[in-house]
Amino acid sequence: MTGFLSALAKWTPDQNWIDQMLQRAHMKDLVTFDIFDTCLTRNTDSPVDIFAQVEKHLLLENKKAAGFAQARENAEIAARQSACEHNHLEDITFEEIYVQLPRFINFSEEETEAAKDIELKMEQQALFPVCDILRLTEKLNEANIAYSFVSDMYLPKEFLQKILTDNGYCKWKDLIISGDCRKTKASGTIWNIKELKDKKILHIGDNYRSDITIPQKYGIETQFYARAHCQPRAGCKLSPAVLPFSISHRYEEIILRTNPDFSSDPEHDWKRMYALGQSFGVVQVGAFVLWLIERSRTNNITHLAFCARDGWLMRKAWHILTQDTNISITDSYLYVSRKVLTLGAGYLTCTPEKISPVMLDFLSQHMYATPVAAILDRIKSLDPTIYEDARKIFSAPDAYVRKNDNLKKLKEFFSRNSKKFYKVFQKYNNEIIGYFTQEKLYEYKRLGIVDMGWNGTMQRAVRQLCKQITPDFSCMGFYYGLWDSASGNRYMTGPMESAFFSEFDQNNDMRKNIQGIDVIEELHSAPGGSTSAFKYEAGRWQPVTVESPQEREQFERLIDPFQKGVLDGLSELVKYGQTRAGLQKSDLTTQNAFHAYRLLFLSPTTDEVKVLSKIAHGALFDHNLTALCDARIPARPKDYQNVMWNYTWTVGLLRQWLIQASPSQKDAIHELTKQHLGFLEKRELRQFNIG
Amino acid sequence: MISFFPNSMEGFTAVSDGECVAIIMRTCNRPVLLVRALASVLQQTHQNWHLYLVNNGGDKPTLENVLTDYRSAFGERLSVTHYETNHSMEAAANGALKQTKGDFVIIHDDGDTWHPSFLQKTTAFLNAPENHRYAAVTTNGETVYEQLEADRIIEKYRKGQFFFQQHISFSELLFTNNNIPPISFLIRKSVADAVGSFNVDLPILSDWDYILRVIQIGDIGTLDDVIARHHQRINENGIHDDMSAFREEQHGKYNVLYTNALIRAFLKSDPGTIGLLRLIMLKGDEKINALLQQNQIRFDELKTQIKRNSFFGKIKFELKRLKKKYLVK
Repeated sequence: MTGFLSALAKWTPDQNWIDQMLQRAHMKDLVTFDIFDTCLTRNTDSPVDIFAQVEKHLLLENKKAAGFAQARENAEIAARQSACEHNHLEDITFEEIYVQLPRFINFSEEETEAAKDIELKMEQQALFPVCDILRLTEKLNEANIAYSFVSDMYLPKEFLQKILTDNGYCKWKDLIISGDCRKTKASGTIWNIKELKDKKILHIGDNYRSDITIPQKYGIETQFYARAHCQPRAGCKLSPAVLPFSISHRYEEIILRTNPDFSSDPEHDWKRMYALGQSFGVVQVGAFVLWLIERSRTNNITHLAFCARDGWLMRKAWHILTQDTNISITDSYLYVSRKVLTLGAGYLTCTPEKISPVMLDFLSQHMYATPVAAILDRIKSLDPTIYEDARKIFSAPDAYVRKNDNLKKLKEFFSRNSKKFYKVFQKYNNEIIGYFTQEKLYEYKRLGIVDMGWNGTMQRAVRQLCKQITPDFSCMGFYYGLWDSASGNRYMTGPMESAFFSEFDQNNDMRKNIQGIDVIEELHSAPGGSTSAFKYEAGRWQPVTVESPQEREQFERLIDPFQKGVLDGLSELVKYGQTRAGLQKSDLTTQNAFHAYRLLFLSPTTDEVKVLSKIAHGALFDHNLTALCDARIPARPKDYQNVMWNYTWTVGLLRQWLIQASPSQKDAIHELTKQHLGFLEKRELRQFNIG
Repeated sequence: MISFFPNSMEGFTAVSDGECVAIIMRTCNRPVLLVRALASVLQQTHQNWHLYLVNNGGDKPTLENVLTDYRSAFGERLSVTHYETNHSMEAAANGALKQTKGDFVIIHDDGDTWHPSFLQKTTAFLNAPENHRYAAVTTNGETVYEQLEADRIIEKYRKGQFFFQQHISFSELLFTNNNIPPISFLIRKSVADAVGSFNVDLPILSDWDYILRVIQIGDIGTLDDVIARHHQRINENGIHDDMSAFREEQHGKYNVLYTNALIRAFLKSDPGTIGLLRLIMLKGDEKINALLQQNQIRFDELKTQIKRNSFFGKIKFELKRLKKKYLVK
């Protein structure tokens, strides 16, 4: 039994639902079923991922097929346009799609024919029966109630007949396909064909519009069936790189639905986050660690320091994937934070008379309107006279600093108190140097710093601090990704390498990459709080962490299950050669992981938006938690934009708003999307019904 | 039968399907920029390359110290040449050109950067059978304006795209100097060998001269993908560094001298063709004058129309009419 089939086999048939449908069917002339994601379901996340399967298959046969998947998708769009414009046809056939294919890829007639055959073969291998529907059709046959299939589909009728038969369906009355009769469920015209017209029908399907609301307008009684439903993703260019996440995620989704009333399960969030760990997390973290192994070897790294708190999960994954190997690289977990590092390094770049520009930027950073007192509080250990001076400069003690507003004033305030701040930097410097000495950080021959990345500021500070003791100290950084500002820091950081994206990417790509960073930082985070200082106790430097009950609760509810999913999956991989969802080591490439990242954060499913937007994130060094997405739609459309700027995962935010928006709000959100998400491709914009 | 087309890469059989790229990088005491350029090369998805780094008179220990951290990542793919004194950019490039091996050559100076897919896309382009007729390829790109602040680079803004053209026209290249920045220009090694060195007698415009020699061998393909970045350093007032102002002045001078040289080279084999040259220029001048005249007429018409149709123009016109009608009498 294949992995996917075994997942489906775990499904408990929804007997109540089957009985109810049977009862309703007794009063009808005919029961009709949608086919895809109702009677049969694919083992991929999105139907179009089958084209990626075809490309992969062709490439394995050494055919020049790079770009086939995207070309196949474009050929279908072109065929639809042509059928609509020239012949006023509602739907198309498989043959008509392939007529268009050579427009998008340099394929000969022979190659086109071969691709056609492989697509049918891939479809056949990817399709599996849905137990509730299969059982219902058996019951209908026993009760001599006629049933038919009605599907908006281009695949050949004979092919579908065979697939349905192979998957256990039998004795149906008609198989009605839009590509065949050129009428569709989407428009409703299919209900007027002679096989369906003037009949008392119960129709069952998973598409709310074409299976429910449209048929109702034609007097059809309908039943929504969402258990095998899938929500197509289009977060990146379609290629074989989407497959590891697509297949593993679909498997996990099927497992999540083992129980018929899965969505009301009180453990649903926990299970969904675990599933996300077993699919997305395994691809992402696993690919990073395998890359890290290769890069550490190439660069002769002798010790890896995984930085708190993002390095927590990475280090655990490192231990799993390097067990039973001959890797001699030692590793440690470094209790550091942007705060203790930058303030400690500030002692080296500033003087009692002058605070360096880098430090002024760091001290003044804030995301939203923030009170001056709060900006000072996060530094800690400040002389009370500093607060007095702040009150003099800023009219009210609780004066707010907004982005760019009052910023110059704030920097002037820091500068005029440079002597007092310098003392604070010195305190942080003493502590972190003590901690680094204890951790023997500058004694390693070739040290590698491991963190999630972005600007290189942590590595810059580590290097500056270690050079304070050992002037010829050097280290390398290994990261998920780097932003454009990282390149400006490179001279002071030393070499930095990134697995998934870098500062050299195009602007639009960077804007896409930023989308998921807040979520992914939280998903990797350690259970403990961030390091705010060090204290010398019992002969050792101990990190002082900021413990937050809110963060602890969030960890247990949402982060821990994700991390468990990742680590369980990687352990299965080491033990059995593959995860329960079938992921193998060869699937864990940086390219596949990057595609998984884009798929999840640029085209999340509704369920993912709902669960991920429950995560709160601390973006700045004070680590004050704020929601990743604010589910509340602002009262006035003119406020949408201002609220939107407060969040990095704008795709998630706007999708979250769309779930609950009224029709007029939807129009405003669509307008906002068009204006501000222009960096998304046409394909990616389809989730907003744009493009 | 007389036939002119096609003749790009004619008689040029040395088109290979190899993938090794020789990268020439010139640097002189700019470690803050250099480390970024090294990272730009190391992050390429196409890893079959060799970097020929030319230390053009910069401090040797400083450079070697910077390189220490990167040696392991480069492995055998780095050759460094140290010049004791600062040579011209052309001479520094020529020194490296002589050493290069591989299938393609490109200059990636220490101030510029690439998108990680640059080499992958450009080598794939030139290796595609339908593109064997191209001697080189150039890509689209953008210009980044930045400031150097002690030990860090601060990006200020980016300017859209290069003066990218879908097709590189020989005549356009002759007319408008060179709009192809070296960072976006990958050339076949066989073509580079045939073209020879950069002209050390040209302290400026040598890139243009080089590209004109390339296009004499074969066409230059284009990739409309923003994958090359030319970086410009600006001061606090947003003005390019002093060296750029000096180059601007030199540019004008050498543009004239270079054009004179081209005409002399053209006339050398047959001095009598000077008459043909004069004829072409006169005809061109006539056409331009005719167009200018047409434009002037149209411009005057529009000016009158605007005058008449504006609010004050209408009043003025009406007053004139009334004056003529009643007062003149």
